[in-house]
Amino acid sequence: MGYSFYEIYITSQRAFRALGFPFGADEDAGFIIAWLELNHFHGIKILHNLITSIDQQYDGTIKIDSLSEKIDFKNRTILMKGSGLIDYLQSIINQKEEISVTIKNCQDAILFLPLLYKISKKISYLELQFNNSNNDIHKYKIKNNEITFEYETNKDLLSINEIIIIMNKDKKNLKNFSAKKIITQKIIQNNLLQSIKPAKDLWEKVSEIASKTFVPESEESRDKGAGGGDAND
Amino acid sequence: MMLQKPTSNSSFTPMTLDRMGSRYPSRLSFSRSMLRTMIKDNWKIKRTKFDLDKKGYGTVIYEINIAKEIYSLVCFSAFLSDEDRTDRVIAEKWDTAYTLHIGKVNEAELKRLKKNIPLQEAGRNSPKELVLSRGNKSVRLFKKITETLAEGLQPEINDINDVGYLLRTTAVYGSGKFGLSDFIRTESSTIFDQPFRAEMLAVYLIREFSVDLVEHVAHHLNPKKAVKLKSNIKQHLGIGNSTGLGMAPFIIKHPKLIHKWMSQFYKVIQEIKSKELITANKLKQFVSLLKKAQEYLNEVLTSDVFQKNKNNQSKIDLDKMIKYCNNFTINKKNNNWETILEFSFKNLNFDAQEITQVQLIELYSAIADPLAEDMSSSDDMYLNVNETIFSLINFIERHYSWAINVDYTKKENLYLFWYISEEKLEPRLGERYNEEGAELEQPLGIGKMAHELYNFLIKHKETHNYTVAEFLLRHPQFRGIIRRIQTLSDYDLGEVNDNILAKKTLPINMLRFKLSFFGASRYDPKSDRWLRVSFFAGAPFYSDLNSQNVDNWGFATMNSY
Repeated sequence: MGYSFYEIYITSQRAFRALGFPFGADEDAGFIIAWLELNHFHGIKILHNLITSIDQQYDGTIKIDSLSEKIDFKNRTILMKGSGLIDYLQSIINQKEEISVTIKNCQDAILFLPLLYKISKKISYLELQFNNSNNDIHKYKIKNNEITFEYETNKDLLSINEIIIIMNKDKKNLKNFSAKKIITQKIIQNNLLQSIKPAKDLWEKVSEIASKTFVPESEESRDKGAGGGDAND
Repeated sequence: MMLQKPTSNSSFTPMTLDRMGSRYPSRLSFSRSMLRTMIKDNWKIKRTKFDLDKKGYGTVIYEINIAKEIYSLVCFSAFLSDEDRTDRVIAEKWDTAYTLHIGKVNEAELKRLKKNIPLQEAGRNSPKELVLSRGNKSVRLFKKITETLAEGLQPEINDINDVGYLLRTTAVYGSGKFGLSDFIRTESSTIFDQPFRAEMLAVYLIREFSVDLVEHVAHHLNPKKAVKLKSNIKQHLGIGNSTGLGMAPFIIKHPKLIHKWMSQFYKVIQEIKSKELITANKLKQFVSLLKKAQEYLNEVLTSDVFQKNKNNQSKIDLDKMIKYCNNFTINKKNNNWETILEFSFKNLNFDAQEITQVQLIELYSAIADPLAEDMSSSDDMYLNVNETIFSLINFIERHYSWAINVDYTKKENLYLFWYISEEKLEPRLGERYNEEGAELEQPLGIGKMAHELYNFLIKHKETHNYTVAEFLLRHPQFRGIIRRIQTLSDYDLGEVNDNILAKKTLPINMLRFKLSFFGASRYDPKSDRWLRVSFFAGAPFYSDLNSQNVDNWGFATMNSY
């Protein structure tokens, strides 16, 4: 069955709320999942796989002593800590030309991509690097709401579950942006033309979690909650 | 009786609930701007399918040709027993169901739509559908007009005024609901780049359908004698709408959009005050428009005592304004509309103040109409990550006094909670101390959240030198409310300046606010949380619509035709 971006977003956001995410964090996490699902990065599957580990375990706090040290996510998902970190990096890049940070003990690195894409109008250049399961380096480069993808085989530059994020305000560094673009505004619009089709069983599970935010039906709420009256006049 | 304290312009706070509940439609309303665009851009509408049986059950399609694009309103009509007819969202069957589809409808698509559209929320739509709606007959008026026309007679316009419509929509969905096209896509790839424009077109065409339907049924009742409705009588018909609490969460969840609508409205007023001088002719036109509004208030019917009293007071107060204008001396020192508006703020109730403003706007189409074509705004919220907590506290103290000065330990200030019922996901309002479900409350109590944030910040002095980004690393639970407060520092008309959890809250005020921007008239509250209204009442039907009459139907009365 096909769904709209709005439906994927609102159902995910409600699911996060049911899983204990506070107001604001649920919206960010819902956006991440919906954006990934819209653009064929399997957001619903990622959310589905995380349900058990995040249920009522929300912890969005991050301890940062120095950006030159690795930031420890302590195996808590980017859905909890990612937004706060990106905001913090934004506050620092306002005073610097470039930042490069490494995050350790952090899985599902692709969850950073929607957050970086969202701020790409404000920051000239962004890059996300991480290893896949074969230890190949994946590089997503973002500029002006466009994303390119490259990968390098067996570079072994990063440890497992480590992620590098680079932010750069200097437009001079943007020359090598020639790889094939995997995300543009046009691609996103084209994706919106199609219904989004998450796997049925995964979607049903996420919807079931979302439904925990709904108040069970009762005669009293039906009568008092929303009005009524004679409709045959 | 609803008597509001006169307010001076200096203390003018347009986003309080009582003011929001006093608004009226204007030239900027979406029904008005949609019809203007229809004329300006030469939209062509034709009925391409009319497949109804003698009782009026079947399928009808209206095609809308706009430049090189085609859209189709597909209407399904079916038998509905009286016991199944309800205006509530929780209904499962309706007399009629509709969709506005992108492009012509082919047989395969018609089959898909026929299977899904009558099911409404239980069906599935595709990104090719922009709007999903349904409507029930006003049984009383539909039957009466059918029988009258079948006898070769015309109904009395008073009969039409008593009810106002033949069909009453009970939901008009768009923007990604139930698989429909997302607005970010609709806005960029169709001609419907303004909020609710596609919905307004659908509603206007449903009104056309309502007359086609009643005339068809009348004809088959008595083919030899039946006549069609006369233009001047049918023009008084609107399309009804029954609206509940769903509109209130929308206002809280889309504050930038609400700011945009309000700021465009006040931009028009400001431009008029700063650039336009009162002339004898303009003043005469203004008085005439005020009298028209008074006549409308004389005719509009409601069983709600609160609304009746408001209407009566408004009539009395409009009299004051008319007298003031009639005695107004125009000279070099006294020729600015500011003077007249100031009089209204000091002497009229809120409703009459609003009427004064919307009727003033009618005089200056060159100012208002371009702004009515710029009513959209993104919903994106953002943080000002480098602002210090000290600065944020100062901002909250200056702009959220309505929230931080409320005592939330008092039950009456925390009495209500907003929730979503599992039954068709209907938005509802519960009583915290009397009903189950408060733990599943929706985060719509902005005042309470701002109050909690403020108290936390005041207690934690060690945070005052942090930037917002640093603060949120340590206290991410405040992310949503800080983002909202910071975003709205640039959109000061986006926030409802009242505690909507308070026992005294009248949700209907928020409904009326939104409906006024849609262009709804004939407000008929049925409780404090739902009401009936009409759309396009008094507007010319498509066959009569032209550039001369497209904008003269505000506050239409029985004498307007």
